[in-house]
Amino acid sequence: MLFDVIANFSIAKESEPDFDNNDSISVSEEKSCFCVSDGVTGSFYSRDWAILLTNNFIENTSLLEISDISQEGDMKLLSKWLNPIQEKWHLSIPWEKFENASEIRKKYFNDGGKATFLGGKVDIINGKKILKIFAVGDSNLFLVRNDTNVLSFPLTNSEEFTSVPNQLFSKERMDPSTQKMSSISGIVKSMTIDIQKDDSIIAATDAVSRWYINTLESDHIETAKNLFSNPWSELFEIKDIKNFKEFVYDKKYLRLMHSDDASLLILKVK
Amino acid sequence: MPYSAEISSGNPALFGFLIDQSTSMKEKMAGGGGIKKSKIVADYIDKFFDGLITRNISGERIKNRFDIFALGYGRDENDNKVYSVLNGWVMDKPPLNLETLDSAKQARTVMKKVIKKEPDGAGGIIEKTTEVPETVNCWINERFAGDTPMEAAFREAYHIINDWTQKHQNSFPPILINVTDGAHNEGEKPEDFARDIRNLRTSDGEVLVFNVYIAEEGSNEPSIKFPSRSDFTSPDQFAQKLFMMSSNVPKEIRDLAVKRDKSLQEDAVGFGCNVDFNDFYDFLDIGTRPAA
Repeated sequence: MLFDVIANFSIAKESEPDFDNNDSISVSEEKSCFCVSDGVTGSFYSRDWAILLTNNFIENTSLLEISDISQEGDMKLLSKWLNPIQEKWHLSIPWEKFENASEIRKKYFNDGGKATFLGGKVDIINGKKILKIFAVGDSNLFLVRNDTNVLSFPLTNSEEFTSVPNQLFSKERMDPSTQKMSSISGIVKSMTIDIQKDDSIIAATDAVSRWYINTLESDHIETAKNLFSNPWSELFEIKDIKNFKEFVYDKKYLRLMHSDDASLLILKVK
Repeated sequence: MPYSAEISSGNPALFGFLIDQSTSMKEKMAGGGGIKKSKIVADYIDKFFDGLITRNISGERIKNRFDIFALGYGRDENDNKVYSVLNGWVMDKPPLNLETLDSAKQARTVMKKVIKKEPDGAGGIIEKTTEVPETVNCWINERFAGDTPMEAAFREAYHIINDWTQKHQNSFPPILINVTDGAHNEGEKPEDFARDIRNLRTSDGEVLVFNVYIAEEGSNEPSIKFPSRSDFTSPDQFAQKLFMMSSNVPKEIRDLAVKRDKSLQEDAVGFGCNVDFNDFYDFLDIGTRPAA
């Protein structure tokens, strides 16, 4: 076991029931891997898609070998990883309940589920601890070392957050830019970074990630640092799901965080 | 910041429609390909409801993030001047949530024209127009009869919205859209009730009243949507009155329109004047943006 799980919380947006939470987190201390996924609101069975993606990653982290899907080999790796999950998703849908749907609904059903995804694995290579990470979309990872944020991945500034992030699809669709069938919109980002004992790895879906980056970018952060109001210090104070809800709702009321499902995973490297 | 409340199952938003179903609605709409105004309006609202429900499908459930009502004004089969035109809803009941709306849908098969490419027999391709069956979900009872009792429609809408806002103070403010093709009955003052409705509010802002005045085939008047509060005047007293009855479009909805590449002036008013078919769709697309 190369890390301890310090926090693992996921909540639906306020005034929505928990079963409408489209985020999913999976983590395995034993396998030293973790992931978060955000099912896109308004896409078909996106919650199930996000859960399948995260559960599958813990079983099979081969996705981390992918670095550039414009390369045929990497695209094949992505398909090899995704296709069995897409099949599971397809088999899990009670399609008979959606027969005789209107054209508007048929189009929606045929579009399938969509989700952002961020996965990582801690490993030891040549005696050095490394972190391999893979991301599609705006679920983000932060690495904190010696009370400093040393990495934001894949997004590094608040302007990169858009209303339509890159996504993994539960059904292949025509990519208009390449005129080829694809299971992904946009690009994947991946990297490998050296890590150290006591580093903190923070993985979060877009609401928390965006707040985190906004806070990093805000001018007051330097003066406020000693008051424990940098983003990671606030997150480290969260001890349970109740704390997490209070934190998210407070930020929302202060208009510092977008209203959305919210997920937070904090790992401490051993 | 007003008009920013989260729309959720716990705090749903309300859309209300007032639909002019007077006799003149049987005429063809400008730019509507020979189709009656009453049908184009009903088809659009049906399509809006189906899209709204679809976007709120979560697995096998439907999230009740919106409440809906739709009133017709004209004359129904029981001689009522104002009546429900929404399948599954009666006027003395609260607006329908999306689940109930969905269960009240009526599926119909319509023939849709599509262009198909076929070999021309000489190595080339020809395009042929053909008709294919398509399922559509319907809720709005289309009709055209009687005169135009717009005041009574606004009065009824006032009661519905007043009741709803009292129970949903944390919600995004209701949006009421009135679709008409002309003059209300003589002596009526729908503007009084429109003002009273605009004065209703939730903690997130005042109720929004949008009016769309649709044009008949052959109209030579320019089609105008979302005119400026400071610039617009019309020689048509009814157009002028509808303009005055309409709310300004709040910045939050203007921002949503920009995301659709449709920019509105800062003092844009939620009013469409002599709108043709295309502008009618555009107008309602922007007016209902908070539902997207």
